[in-house]
Amino acid sequence: MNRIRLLSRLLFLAPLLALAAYVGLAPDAGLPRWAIFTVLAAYARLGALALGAAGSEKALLFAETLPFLAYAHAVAGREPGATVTLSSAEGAAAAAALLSVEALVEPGMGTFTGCLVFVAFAAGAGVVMGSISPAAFLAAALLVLAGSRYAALRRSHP
Amino acid sequence: MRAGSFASTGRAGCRPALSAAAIARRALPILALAIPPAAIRGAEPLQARLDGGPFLPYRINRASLAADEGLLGDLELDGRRWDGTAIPLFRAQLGAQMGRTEIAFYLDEEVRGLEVRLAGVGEPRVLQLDLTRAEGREPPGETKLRARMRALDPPLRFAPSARPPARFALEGSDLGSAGVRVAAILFGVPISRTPLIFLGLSSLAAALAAALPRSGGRRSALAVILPLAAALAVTPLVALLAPPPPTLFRAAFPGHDPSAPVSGVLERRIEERTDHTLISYAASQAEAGALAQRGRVELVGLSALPEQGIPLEEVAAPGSILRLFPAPVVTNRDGQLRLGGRGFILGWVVRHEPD
Repeated sequence: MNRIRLLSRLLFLAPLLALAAYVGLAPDAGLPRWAIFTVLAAYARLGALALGAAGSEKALLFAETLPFLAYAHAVAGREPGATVTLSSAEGAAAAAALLSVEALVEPGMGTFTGCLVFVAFAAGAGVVMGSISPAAFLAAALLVLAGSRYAALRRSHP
Repeated sequence: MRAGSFASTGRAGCRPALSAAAIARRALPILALAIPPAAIRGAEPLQARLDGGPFLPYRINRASLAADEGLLGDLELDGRRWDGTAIPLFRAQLGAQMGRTEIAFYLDEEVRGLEVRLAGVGEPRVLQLDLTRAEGREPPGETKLRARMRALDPPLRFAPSARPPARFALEGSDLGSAGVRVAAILFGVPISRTPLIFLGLSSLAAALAAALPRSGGRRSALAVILPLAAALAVTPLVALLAPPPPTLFRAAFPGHDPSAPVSGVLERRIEERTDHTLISYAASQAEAGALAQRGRVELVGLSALPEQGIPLEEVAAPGSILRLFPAPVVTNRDGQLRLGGRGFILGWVVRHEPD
């Protein structure tokens, strides 16, 4: 077992656990959905940069923050159960689409500037998420994901 | 606030002067269009009238919306503040065509107008009511009542305690200071700790998976499946367990005079109702149940989304005067009026109108 990787991962997830415990103390903040998604996407992306994660490793980091996204929507966002599930699905789809496009534009670990651009697009996705219906957003995110994956496939197999 | 500014008037385009006796009558039809609805968001005018009134601040006002062409669709009532912002006051879904429906809404002195919007088949239709154009004199004692309620500012709520005590001593401070302490220490929404345990387990699985041996720098299948499976399993569990339940807080202050210092010990009672939790604090069992005392003041707190809502009668008995912030959204579910809001609603309820 690699202790360094174990510790690194715990260091990445511990602040999220601490924040979840703290948020539980102030459960009626009524935070908007775009803010919740943007903050977590930014944290995951910067954490991936700090951990030197690339490709599927980066995607796994995002997947590991998904339960925290659900918790934040439920407690800080004050959403009922069904809405939390939908918000989490939208967040997951948005993150997958953003990561896929980033892999197309800037493969590998990426740079700090690239991270900031990612966070800006995540904020934009969060705003769109709050403006259109969940079905429309999921469809759009999956379309972006499919298109970017197809473009990546064409690039690697011309 | 000009006297009688919320009182009802006659039909649109013809606004007869009203005597004090006419104001006192509760069945006056109200129809006033201050701004052509078509100028707002391309909406058509709603051919309806709002019966009831006078609509007064610091109450839950009841009215009846009637339309000859029938009402069907999503019904929204918003209040327009002096700065033009709209605040939601009432929401209902009319599943079947009806000629008349009951509406209830909370008003404070900042609301200058009402906007009723009906969205169903076709374009949304809007009815507007300018409350400042209403004529007539206010009911007797209204000036004194409004002055008193203006003095009862809803306290700010900072970082409520996660573990409120079962007994709380009031230290002889004024009502306002006591309200701030009560809101901060006693009105903490109960949160289940179980989701945090699942989040911890999911994190542990992710950390262990990251530490598993790799071949050629790539993770094994288990090291990928384990954190993914943990995340996908925990997420719906969190969605199910984490949302806080609808909760109503009540703290009854001993004594009858809100201007006098409050002292004594408040004891907690928790009651699990069908669709919400009631956490009440009172000086004794007798205080908790005694609703007949004139001028008795309670601090109430609501943590309930509009789609959940807490029954209106639980929050404020009929005839109560109340000052809440932010303004609650009243919903009508299966004929029962409920209060809710996106954030935590805090305020004062005076159980009966004082002399």
